[in-house]
Amino acid sequence: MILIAGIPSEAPVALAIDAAEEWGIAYVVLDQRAHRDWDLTLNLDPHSGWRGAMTGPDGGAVDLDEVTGIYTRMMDHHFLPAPGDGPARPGDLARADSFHHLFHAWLDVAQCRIANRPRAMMSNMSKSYQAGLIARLGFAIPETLITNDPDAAIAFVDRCAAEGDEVIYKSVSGARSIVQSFAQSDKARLGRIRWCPTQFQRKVRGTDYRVHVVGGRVFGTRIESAATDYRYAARQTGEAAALEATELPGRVAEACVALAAGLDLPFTGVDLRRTPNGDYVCFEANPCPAFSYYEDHTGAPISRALVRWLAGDDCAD
Amino acid sequence: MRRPAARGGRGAGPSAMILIIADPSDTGALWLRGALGRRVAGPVRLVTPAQLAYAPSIAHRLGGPGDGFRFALADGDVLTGERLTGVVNRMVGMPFAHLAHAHPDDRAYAEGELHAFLLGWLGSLDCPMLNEPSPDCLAGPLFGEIHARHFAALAGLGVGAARLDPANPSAPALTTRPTMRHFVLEGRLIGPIVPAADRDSLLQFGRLWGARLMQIDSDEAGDRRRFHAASSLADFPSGGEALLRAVAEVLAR
Repeated sequence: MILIAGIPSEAPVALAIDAAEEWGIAYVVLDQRAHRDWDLTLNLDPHSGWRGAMTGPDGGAVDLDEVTGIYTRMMDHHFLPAPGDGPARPGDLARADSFHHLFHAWLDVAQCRIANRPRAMMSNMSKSYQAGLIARLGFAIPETLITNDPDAAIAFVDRCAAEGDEVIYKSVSGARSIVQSFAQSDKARLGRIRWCPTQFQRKVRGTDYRVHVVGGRVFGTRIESAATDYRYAARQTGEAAALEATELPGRVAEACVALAAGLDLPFTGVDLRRTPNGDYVCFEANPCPAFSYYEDHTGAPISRALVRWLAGDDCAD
Repeated sequence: MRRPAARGGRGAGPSAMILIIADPSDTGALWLRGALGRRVAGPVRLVTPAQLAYAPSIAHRLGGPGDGFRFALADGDVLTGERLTGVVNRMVGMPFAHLAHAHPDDRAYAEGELHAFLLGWLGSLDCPMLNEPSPDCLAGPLFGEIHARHFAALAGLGVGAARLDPANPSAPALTTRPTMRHFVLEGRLIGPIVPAADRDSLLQFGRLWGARLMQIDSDEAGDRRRFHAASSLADFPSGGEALLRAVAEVLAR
């Protein structure tokens, strides 16, 4: 049996549920919006650590020892809407905090397949931190400067420009930000970076690839777009990005699997760009990839691979 | 793909030093600065998180020529990777005072950015560091009682019975007090002599914890040591001469 935890109507979660149905894989859905109706008990075994059990809204018990794998795509519970049956009751928030704390801590130590463990997902909290790990795992990373010094930023921009390259800037943290090209007019407001180091990156020319790794399987998507950030291509260029499934060179596919393993992210979305000379530069590994966008556009069976992996199936077909 | 280029010259210059990053109220770090200063040949400098975060010029470069960092501090000193032989990282918090008057949304964003920058910078240092940062705590992995008791059980240390649920999310505290403190530093156990099985358990606990240096408090309970608490932030004075010697060896290697 596998456990799928998240908002069932959210596209990636819905696809995982559909795939489990399609493959006849027994599953339980922990609807995060109904977390108040779930109970979780952890008992400490002196030899094997924490053992858990959950009880769902229908009173059915789930022995967590029988769960082979868990797909978790839970949102910050503080942003969940209040229950539909009226205002929050006293103690609701404390109970929600405790439930999520216990569940996430158990995910970190549970001895089954997890996509992905909360602690491992935190490497993405800092792009430069994760970039360092990515570089140590063998991928090229973009040339980057993080600085609070306007003069250093201008020198970086000017050097890249002299070599024919643009510079982009984006958040260092995991906060979602739209990648922007640095314009000459931006120099006038560089004084603001004195408040907080800001990330500047030499723009890597080439074609974007999103690679989803599921256990040992790899699904490549090639993205054609003229936008600085293809996720916002329609807004930035007036034309949506074009996505197609693609086979990756064997060494690149193997490197992505090794990267996922090195980051302890068995299910990850790796962002690559293939440069005109055929090199692959890695931007980041997304620990909670919104794979539905890619599956919908390419038909790649990512959700099926995910639920089969969670069920213990490592088949390559 | 590529292999990262080796960075040469670390800690080789005449001003090579051990850097301690800690709040001025961190008495353990202050003790360590004095004790290390008497033991190692080079300088031992303590900088505060505020000195780093408020440095007039910060530059951290990755993925290109000149990989590395440079902090030009307000006192005129300049920190670069080439000057460091080792780092004691006790950065448990970050300075946010300069953001106090920002709009709450901007402040939250800037705090996240500063944390992310410091995490990336600390994670890039290629000299011995006690401890390397972790995304959940800049000073090294921060585990709660669920993780710690799980590691203890797997390592063969005694753990009290516990049952947790959302109404009772914390295990009751032990009624006994710890009687021994050990440190695990790069796979070495430092502290009172214990039977081989206990030593193996303590070392295994250290491996599961994952920090280069950590401390474990325990007591005797029947046929094996009982786990009380653990931390990535070592209390250096309580480790005495043995811990100091081992730390100096790691940092000045």
